[in-house]
Amino acid sequence: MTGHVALVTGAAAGLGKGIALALAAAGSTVVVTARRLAAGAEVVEAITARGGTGWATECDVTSAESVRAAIEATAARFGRLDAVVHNATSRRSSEPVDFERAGPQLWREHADVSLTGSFTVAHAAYPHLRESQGALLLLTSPAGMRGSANLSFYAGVKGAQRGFVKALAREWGPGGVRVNGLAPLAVTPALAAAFEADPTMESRIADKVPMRRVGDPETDIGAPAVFLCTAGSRYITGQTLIVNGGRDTFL
Amino acid sequence: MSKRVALVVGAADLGEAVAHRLVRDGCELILCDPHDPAPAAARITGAGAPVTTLCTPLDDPDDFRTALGTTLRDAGHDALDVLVYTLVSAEAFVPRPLATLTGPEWQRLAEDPIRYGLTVLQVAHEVLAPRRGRFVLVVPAVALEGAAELVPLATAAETLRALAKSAARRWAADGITVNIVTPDVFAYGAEHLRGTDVDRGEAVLPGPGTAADVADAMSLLLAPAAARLTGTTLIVDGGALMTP
Ligand SMILES: NC(=O)c1ccc[n+]([C@@H]2O[C@H](COP(=O)([O-])OP(=O)(O)OC[C@H]3O[C@@H](n4cnc5c(N)ncnc54)[C@H](OP(=O)(O)O)[C@@H]3O)[C@@H](O)[C@H]2O)c1
Repeated sequence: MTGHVALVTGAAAGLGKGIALALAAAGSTVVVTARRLAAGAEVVEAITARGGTGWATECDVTSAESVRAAIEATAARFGRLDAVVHNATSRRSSEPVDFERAGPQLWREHADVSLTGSFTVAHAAYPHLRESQGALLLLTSPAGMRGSANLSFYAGVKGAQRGFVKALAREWGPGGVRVNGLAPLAVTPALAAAFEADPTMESRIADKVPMRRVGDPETDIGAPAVFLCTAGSRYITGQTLIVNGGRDTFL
Repeated sequence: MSKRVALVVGAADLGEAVAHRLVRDGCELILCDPHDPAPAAARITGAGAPVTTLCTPLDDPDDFRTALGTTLRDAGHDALDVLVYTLVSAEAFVPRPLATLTGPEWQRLAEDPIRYGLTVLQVAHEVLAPRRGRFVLVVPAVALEGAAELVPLATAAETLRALAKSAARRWAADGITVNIVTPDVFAYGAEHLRGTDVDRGEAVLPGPGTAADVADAMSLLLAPAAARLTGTTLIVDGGALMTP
């Protein structure tokens, strides 16, 4: 995959980091973006230590200027951009919401990262993806398809991404740019801490998964993310791949 | 027995058709729109039923809560039996490539409509709970399949669908059901979209679907027989999609 350049948002930890590592292992040059440059740089160190190529740059997806700057800096540095993975999600994603009483500000916190952020990232990346016949991948969630009683705002913005993926895939298809979604289940640092605090939590979740385990960010989620970002999936667009050990089979 | 009280949000053609249908079904009607619901209300009143109107912005749930509370009290009602949300701005049906949109245009076309729907959903629980009422969200079926140059519309519609399903999960124990109706864009009168990507020409029933057809299908969800339905999506597209 010489010359394949991929940018990942929110890539300092969790799934973003797993996807960045997997992309690098598959030969992509990976632009690790994060709100804190130092956190991104640590992931690049891990990539380099394994013989891969990475570069860290700051990017807050709630700022259109920040997104544009990161994408333009990538294009200037590497001369191309083949794949963009919008992985970042609000820090409040897993906080239960008092749906009936929550104020507009809380909705904005979710929407800024996932909804406006999807627009901003897609808009800024388009000229480069068009040139490279590249791919946009959004991390979404089954919550966006099924709804969620407690994580209702999260479900809303994840549903948003599903509508966005389908419509944009149809729009960009004629130009050869692909747009897909990936709905994962994997252990992140936050989830690992929750498992630590509540010893039966992991098995309660795993019991609902036919494969009886919670995924690993790099090996379980990273690999299908690489697939959706690269040529092997060149005839796939407008789809959401559910990567959660068979937990959801309704699609 | 007192009449059922229904609130219809959105007074464009589709909302008006829904309002007509609810009046024919014997509901006392409140018609709400952030712009002027009066002309549509006058046409329905002209057909013989009094209609209460509510012209209010939908940006903030607290403001809407207050405005709706006042309207209900003034009309002599304490709660709602039915709330149907139909609001979609005409501008949302104008095809625009994503690359040509500015940030503020994205906000106006995709995110403001979500805010309006969320506002109404948030307030709906307290007005529907006393009578174990029903909520129906009507959004264009472009939510389900997407369409080129209608990214803001598809995104907003699918967001509201996910929020409505979340409400369905939350409110089931209180006896409130929340269902979704997805008509094709032509039922909204978007004739200018004929021959574009959203027009796949796959409907199998003869003739175009109308706003009245959508209103009739919507009323099925309000029948006593529909009590066990919640979080479901009724696709009113003349048999185009046929999935799942
Ligand atoms: N883990 C799962 O099982 C699961 C399930 C379903 C869906 N997903 C989806 O997968 C994606 C990753 O999830 P995760 O579990 O890895 O989440 P996470 O551990 O909460 O990580 C979220 C990442 O987003 C970053 N972020 C937050 N706000 C940002 C902003 N304004 N700009 C840039 N980055 C920002 C955070 O970085 P900071 O350190 O700067 O805050 C963090 O690195 C999300 O889209 C999520 O919805 C995950």
